[in-house]
Amino acid sequence: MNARKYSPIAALATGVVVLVLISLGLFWARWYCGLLRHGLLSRPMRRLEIRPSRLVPSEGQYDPNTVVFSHVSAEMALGPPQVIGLGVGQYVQTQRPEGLRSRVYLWDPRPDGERCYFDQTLGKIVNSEMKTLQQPDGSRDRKRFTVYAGSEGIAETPGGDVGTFVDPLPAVHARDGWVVYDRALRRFFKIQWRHKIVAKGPELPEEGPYRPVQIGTLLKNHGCIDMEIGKPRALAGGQQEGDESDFPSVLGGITSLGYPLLVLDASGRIDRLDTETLELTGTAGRLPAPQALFGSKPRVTPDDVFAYRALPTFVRRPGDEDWVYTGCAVASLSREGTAMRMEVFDPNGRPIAAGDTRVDQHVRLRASSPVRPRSVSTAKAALTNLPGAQVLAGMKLALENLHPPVLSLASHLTASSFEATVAFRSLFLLPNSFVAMAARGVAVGPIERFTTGLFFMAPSLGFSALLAWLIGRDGKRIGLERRTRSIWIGTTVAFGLPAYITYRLMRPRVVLVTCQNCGRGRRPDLEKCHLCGSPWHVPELVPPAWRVLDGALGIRELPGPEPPGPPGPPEPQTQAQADSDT
Amino acid sequence: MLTLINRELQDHAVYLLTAALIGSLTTGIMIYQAVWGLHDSVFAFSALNALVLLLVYCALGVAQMYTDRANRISSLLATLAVTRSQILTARVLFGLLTILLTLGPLVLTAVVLLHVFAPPLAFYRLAVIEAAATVVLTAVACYCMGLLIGWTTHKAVLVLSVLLLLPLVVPIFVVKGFGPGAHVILLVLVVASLVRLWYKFAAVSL
Repeated sequence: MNARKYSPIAALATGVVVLVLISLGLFWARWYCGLLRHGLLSRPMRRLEIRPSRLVPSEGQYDPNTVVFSHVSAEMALGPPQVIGLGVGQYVQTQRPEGLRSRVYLWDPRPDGERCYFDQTLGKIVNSEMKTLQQPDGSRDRKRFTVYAGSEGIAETPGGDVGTFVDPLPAVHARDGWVVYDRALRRFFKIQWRHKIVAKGPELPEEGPYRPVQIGTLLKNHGCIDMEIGKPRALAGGQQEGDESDFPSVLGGITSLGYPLLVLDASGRIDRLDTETLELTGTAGRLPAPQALFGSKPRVTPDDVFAYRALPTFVRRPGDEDWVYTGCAVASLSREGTAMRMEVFDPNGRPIAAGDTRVDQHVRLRASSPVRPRSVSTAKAALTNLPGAQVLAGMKLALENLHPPVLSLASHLTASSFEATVAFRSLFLLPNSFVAMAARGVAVGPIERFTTGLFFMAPSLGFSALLAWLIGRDGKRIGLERRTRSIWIGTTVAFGLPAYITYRLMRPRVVLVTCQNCGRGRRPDLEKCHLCGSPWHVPELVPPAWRVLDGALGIRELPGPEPPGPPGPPEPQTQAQADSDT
Repeated sequence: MLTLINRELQDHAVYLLTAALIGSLTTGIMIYQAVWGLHDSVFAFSALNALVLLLVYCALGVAQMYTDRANRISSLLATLAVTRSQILTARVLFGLLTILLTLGPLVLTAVVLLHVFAPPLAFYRLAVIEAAATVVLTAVACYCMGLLIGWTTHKAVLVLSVLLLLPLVVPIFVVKGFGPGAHVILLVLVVASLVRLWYKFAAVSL
């Protein structure tokens, strides 16, 4: 079998193995760096608090003794994005029953637990629960009832003629039924299981700005952002001091469960849904844009942030029975997971307060100048200001520059195309690299963005050029064809270190001999020296100066010069490399 | 071909038996876990067993190639009426059969247990298929890495390569999950490794 014939395929296969293994190694190194960087942010840096929250209108009017105003807080949870964003965690979180992309909306595993899921073959949402029945003899009997909801009603049999859903998006745990948005039918539905009624809302215009992606509990990447709202409190009679949670609240109640429901749109806008008319009644807010190293976009979509959470607020005044919607607080975590922004919106969706995670530092600009306080975004501080951040940023840059330049360039060009979570499990494209961050920058124009990206790629390009030069030199030394050498050089410029390692594994194992013309190593299997073009030294055939004649004639052997030996390669110049590398 | 496979079996039976033993142990643990409802400690033990199993597959690949390289078995066999392609095919077939024979019962047990004990949801059906495919592909990738690593006569390089490459290949499912992303990467790695191995094996001098 002629293995040499298949060498391009072998080189390609070797390159793929090397690329995958190097990408895996670099991935874990970057992952560990990111984990350490996230650890630099202490708890106060990860926490945001807005006080007063402005979500409780006229806090002081209920009780003049109000001493603790309401607050809304958001905190980056301890689970770092590097862990939550890994593929295995995302798989479980999104696919498991009751997960974000699961068609199983409710699954109580107990024998008498309630279960609700979308049956794709029937096109119906199936609800199954245990009910207690009163028997004629007075005894009670528990029995499981299953009903099937379609777009037109609820049937007790799977084949009931009640219409079908195509691509439902439900809001689970609604008070008087389930609200469902069907992405194909472009309508909201309200399913009241108890009364066996399905109410249908008006169809959203096909060309309109509405593309709901989540209803009710607006949350991405569970466990990344903790949010809470605190009641305003007043001093009780005679109470002077103590923990603020000991003070009685001046409100009748405050909660985040109520109506209208919040609906998140694909554009990042948050709408209010009237659950009676099933119509969108206005804007409730929008996803805030967290700070980034190169500036943040004014508007972000759910795919642009690693995590978000919305906390609607409903207040009951003292003596009242009704809950009133007073606005909502929304927090979102940046792509890199190092910065968070929270915004508070009034009931009409106007922003009334906002805050970013920041690090307060005291800096002295000159030796003689006084110490001044300075506040920097955690997105920047995690890379430059915090102790050890610069070392980690340097390591991150170095690791990114060991990545193939062509993939770094692709990361720059596709920086905003990928969903934010993908960056934490991406092996080949690096959406969270400096190069990609520069591409997402908003403070400068596209040309400056590209030049900034090139600046971050410069070490990688220089390194690749050096490796390509080494390959060119080695290829010339061992007599590779010009075309083959050009291909290897081009591939190394594009793929950097993986291409160089592939070359080292694939280069022909030749033993060079000294050329008698130029004195450098030459291939013994070639007609001419690949460096100077001289052929092997072929001696002229000279007839020997001696004869062997018949001894009887008395003619003897004549002394003469020794004939030259056959031509052949002299001493080997280099040793064959061990071909046992893997 | 059967003779060649039989020879592989005779030479590397210890790896097959070790893998079968660990596989049976893990199957027993899974049944115990499902029937008695124990989770945490048993799960950790099963995960450890799975890691050891992957190490055994890698060791099998290393042993197959290292023995050949050190003792020049294929060079000897090539003097008979067999080609290097046949030798390598028999070797890889034996490795794949070992993986399927030892992992197959494990996967089958998992499917039956999920069918009996887990809720009748598409998630579990899909998860068991995807997870089983990921585990089998990871095992094959570990075996292929072993074949590549074993093509050396330096013991230090061999040990270092195992210590370096195996921790990179095993956690691919952690990075990419159990879905198609992990399957594609593992499949590409397996195919590329086998092509490179075939090239090296076929081009080796007598």
